[in-house]
Amino acid sequence: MTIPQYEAATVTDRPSVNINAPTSGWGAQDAPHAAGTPVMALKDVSVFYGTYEAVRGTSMPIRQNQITAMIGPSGCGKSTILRSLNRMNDLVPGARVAGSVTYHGQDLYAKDVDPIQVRRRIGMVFQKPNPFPKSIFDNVAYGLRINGLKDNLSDRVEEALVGAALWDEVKDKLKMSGLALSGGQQQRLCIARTIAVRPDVILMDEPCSALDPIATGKIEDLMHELAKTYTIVIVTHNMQQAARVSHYTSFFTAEVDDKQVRHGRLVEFNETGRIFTNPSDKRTEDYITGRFG
Amino acid sequence: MILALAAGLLVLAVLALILITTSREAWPAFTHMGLNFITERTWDPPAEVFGALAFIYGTALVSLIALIFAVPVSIGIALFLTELAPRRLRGPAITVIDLLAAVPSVVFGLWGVLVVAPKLVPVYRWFHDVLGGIPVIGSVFAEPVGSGRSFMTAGLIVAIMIVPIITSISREVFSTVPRADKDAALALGATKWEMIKGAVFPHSFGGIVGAVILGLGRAMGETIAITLVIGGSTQITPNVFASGNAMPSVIVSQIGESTGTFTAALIGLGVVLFAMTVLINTLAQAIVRRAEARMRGATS
Repeated sequence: MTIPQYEAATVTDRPSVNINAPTSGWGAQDAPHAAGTPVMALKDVSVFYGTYEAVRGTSMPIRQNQITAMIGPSGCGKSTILRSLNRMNDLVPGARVAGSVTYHGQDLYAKDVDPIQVRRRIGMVFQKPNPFPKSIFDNVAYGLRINGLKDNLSDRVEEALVGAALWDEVKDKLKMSGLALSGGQQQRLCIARTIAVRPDVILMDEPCSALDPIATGKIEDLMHELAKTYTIVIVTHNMQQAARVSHYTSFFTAEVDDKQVRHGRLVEFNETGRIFTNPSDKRTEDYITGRFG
Repeated sequence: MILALAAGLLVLAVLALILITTSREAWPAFTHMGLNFITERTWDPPAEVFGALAFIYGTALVSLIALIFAVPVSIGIALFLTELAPRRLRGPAITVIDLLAAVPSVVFGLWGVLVVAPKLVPVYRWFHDVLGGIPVIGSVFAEPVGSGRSFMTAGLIVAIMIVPIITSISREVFSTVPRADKDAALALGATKWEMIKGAVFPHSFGGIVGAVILGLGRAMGETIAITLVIGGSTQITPNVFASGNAMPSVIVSQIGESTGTFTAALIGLGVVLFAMTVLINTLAQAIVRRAEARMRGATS
């Protein structure tokens, strides 16, 4: 079974962005490109933890202002791949990424690339809402402050909270602790915190898995709204969610090799409509029709 | 359940018993001196004048100096061990610091009086020469005592003694900060230090206060090391390079030759010390409770 390979060459022939240069704080505007052109590209990416190869040979593009979903059963490496997109895997002792992850044509794992600047441009929302034990205002202002964007702080905080569809609910209690909000509100606070620093790409690692259906619906609506400004990559366990929100979907699965070791593997990447109605791989079809996983 | 309750009650009973019996022993001194026992600065046993203020001051000053040095160092070491140090360095470093706690305090005291104090005299003199001329600060760094046995030397020795306890508790506290909080900060483009400020410290405030209080308790109760290096004079002076005395040191050095009201006064010092530590503990708990309530979501 061959995996449809994505041609990374088409990505690189565009003006590149200097990742290490400090951004104006308006990251998304630093590199205006037409919607749909690839912002990032993975080419033959494998992630190792020590000598264990957790995911092997992943190639796919991440397109501008599109929502790219990663689905697949547990242990298929989708979160691992997601965390390799903003070098969060660097924080795991022994983790190593092979292959290339490019961002506007620049290799994110090149020696001279500062992971701090990478994460500044490629933000992340986590599975469990994780506001800081600080006030709502300070939660959103945190990223702005550490990035030196201290002018018009309250305007920027308001804008981020509006952008995360949370402003109306919290505008009168910005001094309240972020931890006092409901789970769904906390997650939107985390989104506000992420968009406050105006990243280019937002990675979401199962952002709704800890939320009830109503809160999930709100986040999904918000994602559509956010995709107008940002490029989004979402890992989800929930196939319906991928079908509802995403433009592109990649399906991962876990394979056991001859030595009985499990590896995650990208099976198929395509437009979401195609993946769910006419998958080209039998394994994808089995998964989405519920025969497996 | 019942066993735990019984154990708790036993601790309370022992505490109460200590307080009652010592207070009773100290009673003659308290009735003799009244409130002057803690406000009078003269300590003259032959004249039956027992004012503990100079020793309360000495204990407070030595503890303060010890904390000023020990807290930043301990928190720094703890942060280094939990967040920065390579894994293979952690074990040995922790062992070395814990070994510091195993050194008997009399050894620290002897080292302090024989080695450290004389070596520090020129250092004190240098500070005095540089800072002595400045109005208020100058009185804190006034003429050093020739032997080097002073509040400052005692504070430094005690600082070394309380570093292990503050470090090990801070380390525990830092290691309970959720991975998710650290990731959140780092995903926003925080450097390690910004992550520590934004995610680690807010989570650790209560625990750090606890660690500092335990260190302070140790500092206030430290006896033999302070006795050896503080110099043993009864005076209240802002000069940290002057010699003084502290409550526990006074008790151990004078109890052997005391009788009657004098003995009662020495035990009274113990009661005052005990009351001070209880007070500080209560205060610290209140601070921690307020900080934690704020963190969990009560308004501002």
